[in-house]
Amino acid sequence: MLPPLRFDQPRPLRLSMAWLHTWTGLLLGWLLFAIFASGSLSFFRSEINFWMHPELHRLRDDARAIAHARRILEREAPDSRQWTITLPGPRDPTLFVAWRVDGASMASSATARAQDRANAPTGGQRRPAHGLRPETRRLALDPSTGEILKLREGSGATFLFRFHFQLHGVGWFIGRWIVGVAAMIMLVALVSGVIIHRNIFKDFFTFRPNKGKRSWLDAHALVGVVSLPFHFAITFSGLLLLGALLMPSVVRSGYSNVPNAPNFTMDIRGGRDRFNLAPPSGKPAALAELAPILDAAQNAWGGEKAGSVVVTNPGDASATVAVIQTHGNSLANRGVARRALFDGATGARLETPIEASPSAIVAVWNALVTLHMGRFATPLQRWLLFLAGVSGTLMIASGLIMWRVSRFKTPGRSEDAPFGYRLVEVLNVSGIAGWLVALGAYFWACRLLPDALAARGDWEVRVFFLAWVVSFVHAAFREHLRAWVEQLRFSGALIALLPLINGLTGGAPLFRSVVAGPWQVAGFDIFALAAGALLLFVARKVHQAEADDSPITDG
Amino acid sequence: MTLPNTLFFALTVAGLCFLSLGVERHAKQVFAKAPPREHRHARSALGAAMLALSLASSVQTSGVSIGVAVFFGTVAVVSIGVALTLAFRPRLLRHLGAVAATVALFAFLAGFFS
Repeated sequence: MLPPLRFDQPRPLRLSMAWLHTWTGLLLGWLLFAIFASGSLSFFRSEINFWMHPELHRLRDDARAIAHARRILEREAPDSRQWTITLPGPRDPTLFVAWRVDGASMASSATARAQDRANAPTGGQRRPAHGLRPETRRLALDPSTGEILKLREGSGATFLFRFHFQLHGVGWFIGRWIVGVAAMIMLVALVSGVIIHRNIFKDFFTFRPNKGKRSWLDAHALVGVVSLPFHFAITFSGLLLLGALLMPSVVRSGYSNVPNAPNFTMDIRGGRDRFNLAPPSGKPAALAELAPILDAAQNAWGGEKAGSVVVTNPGDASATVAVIQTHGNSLANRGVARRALFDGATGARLETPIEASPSAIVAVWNALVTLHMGRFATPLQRWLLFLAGVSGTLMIASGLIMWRVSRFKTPGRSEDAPFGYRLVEVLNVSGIAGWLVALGAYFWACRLLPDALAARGDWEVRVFFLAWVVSFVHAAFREHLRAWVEQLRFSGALIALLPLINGLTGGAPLFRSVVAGPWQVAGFDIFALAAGALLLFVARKVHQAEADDSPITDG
Repeated sequence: MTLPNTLFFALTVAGLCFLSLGVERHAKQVFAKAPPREHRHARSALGAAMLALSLASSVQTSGVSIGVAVFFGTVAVVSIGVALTLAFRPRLLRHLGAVAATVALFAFLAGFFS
């Protein structure tokens, strides 16, 4: 351990930085752990959401989705100026149709409005109508029958996603400020961590197990250094995403406050004229068949799949159909995908307007933000992002544990510890293992709470926080290592049993999903089994350490 | 796994294996005695060159921005794998670098002649 820092004496840089790293890391470590863990899971937001809706597991895409989408849109939104059809894809087999409602026809289908309310907590992208902004209505459909789906109410992966940038229960504004401060502190901890690391390249591959504090330091440095570019990029881009909130005067200096004037968000998203559609010609003309258009686009891309189809001015002679590819091919243009444009009346291919390439500033912003959101990613790339996120989570957890390990000679005994040390112990157990218990409990609640429960989604979130609070109390009343073992075991059991719960409560059971899909559900279940097993393994290790009172945590 | 992915992954594994064997401590772990300094330097240089090629192949496949991101992500995952192998089964690394380099060579030739 480094000698204590004396502020009344000259201080070498490395010592100052070590002090900074230790205390900033400790102060916000627990919060950062929760942010990194929930953020990492958010890379699989669609997949987790889908798992949490077992009523959707039976959906199969038989390539007739586009025809059903059109039928429903013609029935529900004949007068809309724009239809958006989100085709079933490998991440979510649900067919979504959305349509634009311009001011006048705001009070359209009642079914749609009810659905909007139901979808909102599961990630439905409802845009409130304020000012002159058009509203969007959205319906979830069965891709093989076109039947309108009634989604069960639930908080879904959206809760985890929102939690990672605005927490919960403190209001989004304060929540985002807290997360912004935490991200800033994370950046401080990263920079100071690099400064105090003695041999980044020589120790790059070094992990020495069963050596007490040395092992923890190795593990902390290993997961920190190998994904250092990711840690910097994800933290910095996270700050950038909150930038307009944290430094509003910068934005205000460049834009006027007039409603509907070009604003910062529009410039950043490249959508200055997103709301200004080409005017209809007024001559009615039947819309061409959409399926051949879709095929033509996909053939032109050499078989690359389309993600969505946007029909502008349906039923008019000037109608256009834009087919948009699933993945983008660069970070610089927001992962914007290729698009093919067709004449809506004749079905003939039109020349695709060349999109202006973004300015250098917007390109840098786009690259960082797109990386943060993993918008571009193919499945393999998504797993890489997730694993990088997990390595960040492990880095934070190992740092927190190391604070405690380096301050005790004997790992198990902490009766004589001062209050502050004991507090860190309790927060370590409940902040790390307790968060995992809460996560497991959250997934259980999603599946076990009765369908008819009012405000079911809120109850899921309540279960999450209740489990977290209970784990804190438990950690406070148990011997330190005992608390670790019990909570790790409990979280491991909760998570490892998720595939069973899934099969028993109406989801696609693992033995079937693993051979016949849906693959997202199989992936979730297999990952839950593996993660649960890993937690039980770690619990065993800690239990052994507790039994012989030395190896893994011995200073 | 497609050919470009195989090439990229094999190059990354080979590069990181050789780089790790360029570090004195790890060379001792794998070969049970310290190899001459020139050998280590040669391995480091080889490893760095292969990593550079792996970055190039990733960029070639996925474009600059995504290619660089994928490169760093893969390096992170493989490095943790190499570190754990060194910690628990160091002798496995004795030939892994050469095997991965051979796979990369075949993947490159297969891509070149197809």
